[in-house]
Amino acid sequence: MALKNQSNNKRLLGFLGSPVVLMRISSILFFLTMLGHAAAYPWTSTTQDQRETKLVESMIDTPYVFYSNTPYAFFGERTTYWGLYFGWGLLVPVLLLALAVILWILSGLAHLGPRSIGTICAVLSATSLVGASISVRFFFTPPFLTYSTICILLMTAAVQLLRQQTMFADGKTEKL
Amino acid sequence: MNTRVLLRAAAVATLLTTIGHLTGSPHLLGSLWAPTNAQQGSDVVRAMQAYRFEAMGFETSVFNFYSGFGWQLGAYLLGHAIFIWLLADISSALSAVKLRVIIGVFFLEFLAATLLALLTWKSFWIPAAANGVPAAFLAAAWIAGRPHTAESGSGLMNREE
Repeated sequence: MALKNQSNNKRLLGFLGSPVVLMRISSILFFLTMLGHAAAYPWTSTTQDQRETKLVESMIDTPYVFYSNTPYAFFGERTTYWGLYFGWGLLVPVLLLALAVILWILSGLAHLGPRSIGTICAVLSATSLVGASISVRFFFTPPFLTYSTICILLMTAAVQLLRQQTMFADGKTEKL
Repeated sequence: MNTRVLLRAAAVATLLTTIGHLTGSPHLLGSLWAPTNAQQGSDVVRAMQAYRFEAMGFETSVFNFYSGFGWQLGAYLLGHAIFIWLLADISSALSAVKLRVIIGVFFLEFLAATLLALLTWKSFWIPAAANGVPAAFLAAAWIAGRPHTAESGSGLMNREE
């Protein structure tokens, strides 16, 4: 009985530590990070501070002047500092959602092209490391934790995948 | 043009977008993210830096959020450029259906970025154009990757279907 339990635990650990599962957990974490970011919409504090209201109003009123001193209009519309801030806030979840979806799809292909998928995992891991350091410098703890976790999980998956041989039916190694 | 070449073109266009975006950082070459060449702009940037508040136990400022979003986008754009380049490497080995799904997600992402840039930045059209170019290459790659035109490849990943 004890032996059977030990064997089951080993199998469970092996399953949880497999590149596919690590990539899927990372994908879920990207999705959760996206939700967390989107939940903070429109990325201002929740306090009804007069100074903040005034700041946001001035950001809305101040045109973004690019290279010249005259703000130019496009179909009668001008870019403002608030437009830039708000636009970046909206773009971040779009990027995170795309990464979550693509990582999930790639996890299903990991056993077929381990070297290539492993390299992609390493790139995303490095990107997440940058994300973690940006979170420390500019944001706060929760995004730092999720990005750090994603970084570790994807690096583990990358190392495992890069060690594997490709499963070619004819016995050849991966040639990509 | 085949899918691989179009994906490479999309990767290069994304890299150029990244470079354009990051060089605008006030911490790097210029101050395109927060130009202070007009008095009103200078005032608002100073106000963004000066107004500090507590978020989840950290004292931060609106300018920190602003710069952080900018850097985060830059990092992920660079990751995307490398990712799309590597995708071009394995494009001939992937099944046409899977490849088109991945390209389709990237295309929708860049299309959304283009539309968001147009809607939120209005007269500042450069980011919309910069995101529109990779979107166009990705759309072309998606069309070129149709099953009947796709290269048969090494069959590495075709077995999945």
